Amino acid sequence: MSALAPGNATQTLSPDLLPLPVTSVKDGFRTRWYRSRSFVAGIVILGVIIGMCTFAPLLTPYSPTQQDLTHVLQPPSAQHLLGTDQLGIDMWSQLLYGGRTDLRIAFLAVILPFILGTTLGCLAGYYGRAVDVGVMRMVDIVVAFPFYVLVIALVFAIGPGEKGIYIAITIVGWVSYARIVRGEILVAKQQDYVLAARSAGFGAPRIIVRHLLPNVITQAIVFATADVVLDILAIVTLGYLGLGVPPPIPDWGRMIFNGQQFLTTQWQLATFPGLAVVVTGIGLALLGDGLSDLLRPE
Amino acid sequence: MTDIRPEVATPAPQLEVRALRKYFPLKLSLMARLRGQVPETVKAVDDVDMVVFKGEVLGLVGETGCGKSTLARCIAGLYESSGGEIRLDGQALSARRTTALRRRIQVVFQDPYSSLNPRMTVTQTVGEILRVHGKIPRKAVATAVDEPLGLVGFPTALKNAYPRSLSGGLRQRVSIARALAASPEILLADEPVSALDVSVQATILNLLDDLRKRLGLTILLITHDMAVVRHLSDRVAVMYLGRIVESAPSEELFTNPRHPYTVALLSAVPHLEPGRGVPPPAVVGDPPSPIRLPSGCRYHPRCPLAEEVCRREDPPLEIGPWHPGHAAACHFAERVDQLVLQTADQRRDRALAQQADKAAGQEKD
Amino acid sequence: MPELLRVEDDVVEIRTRRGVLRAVDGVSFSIAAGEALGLVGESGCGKTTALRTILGLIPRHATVSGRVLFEGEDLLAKNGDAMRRRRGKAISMIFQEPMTALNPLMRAGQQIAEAIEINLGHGGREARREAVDLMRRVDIPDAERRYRAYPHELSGGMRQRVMIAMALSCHPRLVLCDEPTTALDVTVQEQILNILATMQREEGLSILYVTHDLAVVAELCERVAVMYAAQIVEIGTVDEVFRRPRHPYTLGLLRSIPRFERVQETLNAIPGAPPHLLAPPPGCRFHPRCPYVEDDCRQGDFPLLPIGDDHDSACIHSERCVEAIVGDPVMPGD
Repeated sequence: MSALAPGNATQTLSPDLLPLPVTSVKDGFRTRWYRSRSFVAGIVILGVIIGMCTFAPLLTPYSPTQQDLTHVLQPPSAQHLLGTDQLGIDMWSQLLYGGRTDLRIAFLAVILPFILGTTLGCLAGYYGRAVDVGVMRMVDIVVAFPFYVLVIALVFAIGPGEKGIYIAITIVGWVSYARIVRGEILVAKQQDYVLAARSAGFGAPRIIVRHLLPNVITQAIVFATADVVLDILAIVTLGYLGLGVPPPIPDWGRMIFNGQQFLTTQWQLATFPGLAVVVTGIGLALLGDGLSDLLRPE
Repeated sequence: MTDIRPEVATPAPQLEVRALRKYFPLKLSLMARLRGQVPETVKAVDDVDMVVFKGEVLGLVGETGCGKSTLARCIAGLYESSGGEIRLDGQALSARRTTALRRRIQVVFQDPYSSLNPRMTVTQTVGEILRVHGKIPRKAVATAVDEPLGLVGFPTALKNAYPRSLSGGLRQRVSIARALAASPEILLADEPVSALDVSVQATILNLLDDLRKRLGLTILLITHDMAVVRHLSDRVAVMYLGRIVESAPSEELFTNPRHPYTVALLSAVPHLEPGRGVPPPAVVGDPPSPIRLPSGCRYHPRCPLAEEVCRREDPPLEIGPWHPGHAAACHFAERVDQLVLQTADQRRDRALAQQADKAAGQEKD
Repeated sequence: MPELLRVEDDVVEIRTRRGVLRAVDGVSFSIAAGEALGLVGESGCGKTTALRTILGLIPRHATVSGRVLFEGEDLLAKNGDAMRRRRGKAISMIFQEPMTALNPLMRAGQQIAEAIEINLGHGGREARREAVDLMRRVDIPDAERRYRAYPHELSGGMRQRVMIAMALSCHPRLVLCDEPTTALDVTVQEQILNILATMQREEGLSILYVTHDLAVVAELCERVAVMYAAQIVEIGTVDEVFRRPRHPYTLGLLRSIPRFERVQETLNAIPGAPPHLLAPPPGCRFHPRCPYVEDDCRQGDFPLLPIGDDHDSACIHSERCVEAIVGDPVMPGD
């Protein structure tokens, strides 16, 4: 009996399909996301933090730049939830608005390195040889410098402010993405479906974009969540060193710097911004963890 | 160069491979280079001559390391060859070939689990070929894929499924449909059924046979499974360490092998015959690595007929007096039929002895 | 011949998120001393799991029930652990992938010697001598030199031979083989099968050989059990089962595989696919695909029933197979 006529094939072959739904990357995400405890925890934590920062005007009557020299260094009270700093500015508002600043910069700062690094990594991995050597040598040069040394030097050279931060982090941060993507592409390149695409005569752009990238990007995305944490730390550090966003724009790093001299009296001035960074970091780490579980194809 | 076309007048071959070489240099570490070590090369394909005629199934067999997959990939344009030439209907092919040329040779791979992009549905996978080669507009793809899918008996109800929902047999059908969607003239099937379950193999083999008859497709079948080859092929070529050592029409090769390696290979294939017993091994040891090739005839260290000339000179692949289409690369090809008889005798004696042993053992109880 | 191993009603249940699955569902067979039994079936039929229950190599989330009697003692009983350790020397196992069974950081010969030291208690130098001896017996050429080789320096066939040497080092009475030659070239496979056959003849070794390759079983084994969907559907001597199959699955399988020794025009593939073990069909598990299906096949239980001398089948209409063979014998020249 020939199983070739489509009619016959449907009858004889339908038992081939597993009778039960198979989780896939796409439906895995929709149907399983709540299953991953890390992912849910991460989303909740981040959601709370981002929500609070976004709705800052609703959560505090004070402006983060409003000085009140009659009420400096106040301990936490009913009027000032976390007290005031040495210029009388409300801590709680600074925390919320500072979060806005730092988080926004951190998320944005991930995008350019992601794009740049992924692109260079793709090209290096796919074309190999000269392109690979060139990209990898650039990687070597950047990696030779400790991260903060390079970032600080660049920000110093470009000048304080957001623009400097974006440029510095991009120049230093693309490297990790390039390495990850290049490594993944080197492996994915050998898969039979890529060989099939090549022997079918598909051009390199189509192969890279349609066949390689989608299977490779998940690692980059997971790394991006960790990268946001690194960027937050970097921004906070720059702020602490006075190289971040200039005053009076609120910033957790500068808050810590300003608050450290009062650790014995008003310890909450330095501690809470630090805690905010830690909690955000934990939230992102959990999110990244959960994502890497969920995005793994079955 | 040897002519392995039958001397009887035949049409020109569709695919010709002449003196093809593919060498892979092994990279040396810095320390090794400083010590003055010479980098070695893996001669995966070493001077191969082969022809394939339109509409036939040529089976390319050999064991691990013989180079058959490398040869297939050179033909498919995935590797740039290190020497020699490949011609399709007289036109020279290199790894850099036009899309129009690529369309004419399509490949089906062994592993149904890695030969389909896991993030593309069946329609997308097959449709992509139609868009690139058939220039079908995007809107028409959804219905245009029905034709190649129908040719391979893939149920259209499943065409928006992802590969992970499909069994090995179905995935392999999709691979074949993808290859057919380009309307190729030659199908390169690299171990198309080896990764499939035994009972599914039959459906795919029947499918390939049917497609060949219906579409006049030429099939280059690469496999290590002798039963599959015997079932499907019109002609067979045997590879050993980068060379073709024998090629002949299918039944001629199996009934009258003329290379000692072919004899060993054939005698090692297990038969589904109770009572036949396990045959005495026809070869000793493992195939040597393709890095350090033996001198002269590369089979001589394991060959029962080897003599001095075999250590010195590499025998060319030549058509013998036994059959117009039967070529073998052996200095003593005319003696190989005795080797076949010897092997058969050994086997029969061994089987009889084993049966006697077992009978004696049973009597004791 | 005395019975060495008897498996009775072996059931392996695995709890999955979607329900309970029986990877092995009531499998029973026996092996006599000095006998080779082939356990054949396609992937997912449970043959490998059944093999592993004998040595207790079942994952922790699975439950095993039934009895595995080795020389009369039940290996699955409550004090099975201690018993298995005692019996471990009498039963050995060879796996499909020698690279995963061998320690890549230890020289091959040393691993054999270590097995000898642990199991037989012989000291260093003597263990080494025995190891080299074993390597020679499994046809490893240049055994002295190969003793010092690391696994990655050896070819697939050599590694498999090292594994066989390790398995044979403690003079077992039963060797369990889990597709040991599936990944090997046919000439190497022939050599390995020869080693096993020689050991069986010379040492009276019993062999349980799990594979999907019926031809290998026909050559090596005296008896064969055919598994489908976690159950044995036919069992008997190789001669009986392969020449006169009495289960439609066995017959279908024999007709669908390309046979080297007998060229067929078309292969008659069995339509459909094996059932998912989470939801096997009621009645005979093969009935949805069976060309001889009748109403009474669709419900009930179908245990193995004797239909001949050392030939059992689970099919209640097995005479249909007899008719089918008449005009079209399975073996050439029958």
